[in-house]
Amino acid sequence: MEKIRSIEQLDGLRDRLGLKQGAVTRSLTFCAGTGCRAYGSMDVVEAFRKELKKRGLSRKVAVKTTGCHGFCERGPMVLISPEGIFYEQVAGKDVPEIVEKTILNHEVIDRLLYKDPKTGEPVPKEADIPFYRLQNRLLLGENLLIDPTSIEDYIARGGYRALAKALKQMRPEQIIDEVERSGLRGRGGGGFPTGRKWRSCREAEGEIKYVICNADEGDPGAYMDRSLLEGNPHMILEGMIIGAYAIGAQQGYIYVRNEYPLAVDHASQALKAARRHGFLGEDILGSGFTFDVKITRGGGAFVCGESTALMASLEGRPGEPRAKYVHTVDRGLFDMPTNLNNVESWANIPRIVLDGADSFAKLGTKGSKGTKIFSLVGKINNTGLVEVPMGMRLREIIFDIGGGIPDGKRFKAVQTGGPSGGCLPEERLDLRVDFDELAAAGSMMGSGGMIVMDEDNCMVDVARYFVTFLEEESCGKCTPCREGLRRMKEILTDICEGRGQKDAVEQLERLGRAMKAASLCELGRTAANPVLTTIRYFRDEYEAHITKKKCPAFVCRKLVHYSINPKKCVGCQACARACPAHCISGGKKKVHVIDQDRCIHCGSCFDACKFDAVKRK
Amino acid sequence: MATQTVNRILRRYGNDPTDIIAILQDVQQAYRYLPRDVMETLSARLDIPLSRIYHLATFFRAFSLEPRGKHELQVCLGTACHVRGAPRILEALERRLKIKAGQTTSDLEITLETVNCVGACALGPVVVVDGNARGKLNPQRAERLLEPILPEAAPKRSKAKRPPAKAKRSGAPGKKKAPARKAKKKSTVGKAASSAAARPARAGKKVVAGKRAGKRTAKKAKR
Repeated sequence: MEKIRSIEQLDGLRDRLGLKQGAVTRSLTFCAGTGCRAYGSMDVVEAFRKELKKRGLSRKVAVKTTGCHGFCERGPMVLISPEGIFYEQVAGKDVPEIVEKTILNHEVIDRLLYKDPKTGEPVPKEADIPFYRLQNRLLLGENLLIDPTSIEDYIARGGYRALAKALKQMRPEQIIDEVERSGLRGRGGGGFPTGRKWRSCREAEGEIKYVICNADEGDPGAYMDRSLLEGNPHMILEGMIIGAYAIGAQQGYIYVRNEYPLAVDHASQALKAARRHGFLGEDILGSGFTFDVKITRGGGAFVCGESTALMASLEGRPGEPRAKYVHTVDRGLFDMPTNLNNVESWANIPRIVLDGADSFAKLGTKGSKGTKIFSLVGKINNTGLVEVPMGMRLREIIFDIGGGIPDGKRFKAVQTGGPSGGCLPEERLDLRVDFDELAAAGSMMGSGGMIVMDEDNCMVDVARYFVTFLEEESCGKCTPCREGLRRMKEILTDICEGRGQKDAVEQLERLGRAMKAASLCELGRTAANPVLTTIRYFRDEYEAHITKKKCPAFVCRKLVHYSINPKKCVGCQACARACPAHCISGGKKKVHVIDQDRCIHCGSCFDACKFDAVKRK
Repeated sequence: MATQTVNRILRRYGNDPTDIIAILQDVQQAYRYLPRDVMETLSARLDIPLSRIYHLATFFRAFSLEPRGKHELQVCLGTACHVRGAPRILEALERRLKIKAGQTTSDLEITLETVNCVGACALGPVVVVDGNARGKLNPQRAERLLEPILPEAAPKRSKAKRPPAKAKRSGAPGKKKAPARKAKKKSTVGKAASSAAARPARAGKKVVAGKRAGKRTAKKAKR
């Protein structure tokens, strides 16, 4: 492959690729993100390839595997172009039928279509499904169109045009002005204005400068960064190269979680392809600018998402944060000026450079511009990744796009911002989601995780979950975070197990305030948020645990007691078989009894009983 | 043999000490843990104090100072999985395997771990079995995941169907060591990390030796 040296050469290549791709009239697009692969999507793809080959259609119908489409609930899925037909939960056995009916005879198979839950009507086209229709998928939408392992696909979609524009037609300062004017704020959680960060780093003194892409997506329940890096690695890479040029950096790093093997693989392939085409390396596009990127895998520590900890671990040291009296843009990696941005922030850059700051700033609220990707997970019908303009109401995201709560249960809370964020109750559903509104409500944007909880979730247990998580992940360098979390965990465990003291809530609040004031890094400073917000909005649940020794949601095991209603028990023995402690007695067709002394409160009998005979209280 | 592997890994990173974490990751992958002698070699070759390598080895979740099992079960405890009942799945697996999260069965067959999030939240609760995510689990279904990797976990009726060769392999070499290792683990688990440092390494050597011996006998048998 000849290296590309000029804009004309890039345009020529794109036109040739466009013609080639335009010649294919029909194509099948499969989601091959981590989620759909776990559903077995690759087996379905293989089945399609075989079936098409058998019928001699291999040349006429293109089969494309792409990154995550976002609608993870419905995988494995296939999108048939040009009609735009969307089939969900496709299995290997459906393949011959799809080829026969839809590909050859243009018939739609109703059985495989998405059904509108409200009307029950099948929706044939992907674009009409409410989950997709109500979003604004500027970044994620590209995932559907691109094979992440093919740089040609990316170039054909107009990829690297922004880089060419930046290198050939813009001065570094102009790029920074544009990014600053767009109002882009860091998507990793902090929400710091990206343009301002770039400017400080450009102005900082240092022979060598670095840019880093933070793909150490540690927030449990958030996976938008993975999906972007997995599904469209060149977009992130292009953003990084533009950023490096604007800042004056020579070396870049992508720090990615080791738990994301597919993202590591796709990003590595992207780097190689970009070097082959001359987008990385020396004299990029004939501009004289030299830059390269290296991938580093994380070691599985949540705290490494923090910028100074991440840099320490890049240097081969344990990922412990340092106090930021001196900013990393002045002295970061190897004591050199370093600019770190999150995956999603980098992904927004090519669009801003190409279409201009105004087109980006059109969307969003006063203080938060553009779109944001959220991972909508937990007790929600349409689990998946959603990209919406900043300022959309929580209610719209959860109920209109997300399709509400499964099994007709009642919504209880939504947790935003991962372990550093907070839980928001039903009264707050009309909140417009942006950096400032969420912070005002006691939560935060974080990287964009949205975990929906229903009436079966106990908020004290959720607070304990986050505190346990953070206590394990705290690096232990500063005392408020290390000891504060440990004490909080003890207090919350006591509450969950029925030993809660009367002043436990006040103790938690006092600890939370101290941690917020005195911790070294953001992990510690925000660690109390899940506890403080659950106290703020769900104080009654804490009271029930402490004074009544009851868990209203029947989650905290030590506070739940199971017994069998003799009037309803038919003696089917299902509960006795399910009981791991073997503490249910009673023979066939006889009323069963739970031995309370040996009961481990696991709830297996409650789940197993089909006659509603097992009571819990 | 051992040094060859280490040499290969070091060459891959051009003996660069700043790549120590990546090097340790590769060592972990090759040996399924970080043997003490390998850490000593790395310390000498990269001119990094052993204490710092040990600091890294205990800081990051990805590293283990004790040999991990042939099969790895990772129970996702991400928030989405948690609210959908992941803790009960972990409990069920702990009960079934008679080990706690973070431990390995005494025959070195299975390691049970927890992970913070694998990003397959739509499938929650998720367990990753040897790199393959399995989702939409409940405690019963999770226990069934063990069937292919743990011969004794299979329901009784299917026992007869299992090929005898497989049963032999999983039984013979592992069982002899089992009691000794179990005792050792009990003494180290939960103790201060420093005391755990030396012992697992020694145990590791034994395991490597045992493995080789096993291979030799297998070859002999073939002849």
